[in-house]
Amino acid sequence: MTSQSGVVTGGGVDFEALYRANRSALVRFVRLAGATEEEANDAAQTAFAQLLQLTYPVREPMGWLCRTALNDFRRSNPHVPSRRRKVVEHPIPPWEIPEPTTSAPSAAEVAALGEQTRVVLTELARLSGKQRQVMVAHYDGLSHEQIAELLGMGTDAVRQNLSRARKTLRKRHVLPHKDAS
Amino acid sequence: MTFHRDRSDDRDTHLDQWIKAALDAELAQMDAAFNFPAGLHDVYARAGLARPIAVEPSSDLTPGTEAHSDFQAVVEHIEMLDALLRVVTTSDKDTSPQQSVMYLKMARQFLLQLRIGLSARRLPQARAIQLVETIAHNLVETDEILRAQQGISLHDAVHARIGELRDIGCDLNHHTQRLREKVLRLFTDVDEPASRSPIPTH
Repeated sequence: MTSQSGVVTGGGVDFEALYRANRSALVRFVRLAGATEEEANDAAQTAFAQLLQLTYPVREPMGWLCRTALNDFRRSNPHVPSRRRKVVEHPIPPWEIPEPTTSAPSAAEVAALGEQTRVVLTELARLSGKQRQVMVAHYDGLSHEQIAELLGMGTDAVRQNLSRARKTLRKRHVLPHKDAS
Repeated sequence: MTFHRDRSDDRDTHLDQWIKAALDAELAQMDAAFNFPAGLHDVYARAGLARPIAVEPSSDLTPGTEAHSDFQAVVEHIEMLDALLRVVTTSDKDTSPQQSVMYLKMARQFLLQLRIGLSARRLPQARAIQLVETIAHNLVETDEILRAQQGISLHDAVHARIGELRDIGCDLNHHTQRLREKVLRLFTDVDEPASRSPIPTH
């Protein structure tokens, strides 16, 4: 997800580019809030549809989409208290990358490079739900202020969660070793 | 320039880059698995709006077309770069510093993301160029580490491993610059912008 500072309103090329560039990140963000894959997809689609209906320009559309999708998910699932929602993580295994239409890299190439991705994603999945949410939102380009607003915490808590998550990952030696192929 | 590669700031930078690469790879996989035209159709339907017809990029990567030829040139360039980096990262006699190997592996992962994204025509120009620039940055970092710790350049390291088997011509920086130009060309055809652009430029 790129935290875009552009102004988006209505449909057309800009909207569709925004959709293609950020739809997956939005789905992942809602999933980390405790949604199933299906719920996250639904909330993301709804948020994009609402953005399309706006008659006024939106600055920072990704922040707006995250907030709208998260609210939609919470409204649709009032029986699950937000603080008790179990974070569900289903990273797509690298070996399940569908074959592109042309000139696909070999399965061996994908598997070899995918291993490093898998290690990092596995370690991220082992973090606490809040730390993972903050981390993913941070690396997806949202500001500390935006993350704080979205997750209902202070900016100090955002920084603290980021710091603790990094410390945990360093302890778990997420960085690759030289002898890893 | 003095390198202090073991400082905590540097470790954080490396960790950040590694995590960002993994998360971006996950997004690339999600993108590749998703049917965007169907998704857009659903969004417009939910909004109760008709989708503008002109914004759907046409699929014109069929063999024999100019677009396909340009795309193949990018793929072949990616394959060539990846092959060169692979010999450094997978050599049995590898004595490269750990951090340089890490940068090279990340560069290869970004090359793969670039190839998959362009193949699936789901990579915006900005993200494609960002990937190329990140690859170039990783190669510069690798070169600096090798020079500081082993007194050789990345170009020398590649040559030392492939020997006389292959002439790689110019250095890797030039190769990444050429890749950038070829990727840009995919997005900037004035005659048929839709057919050449995976996603229209902002």
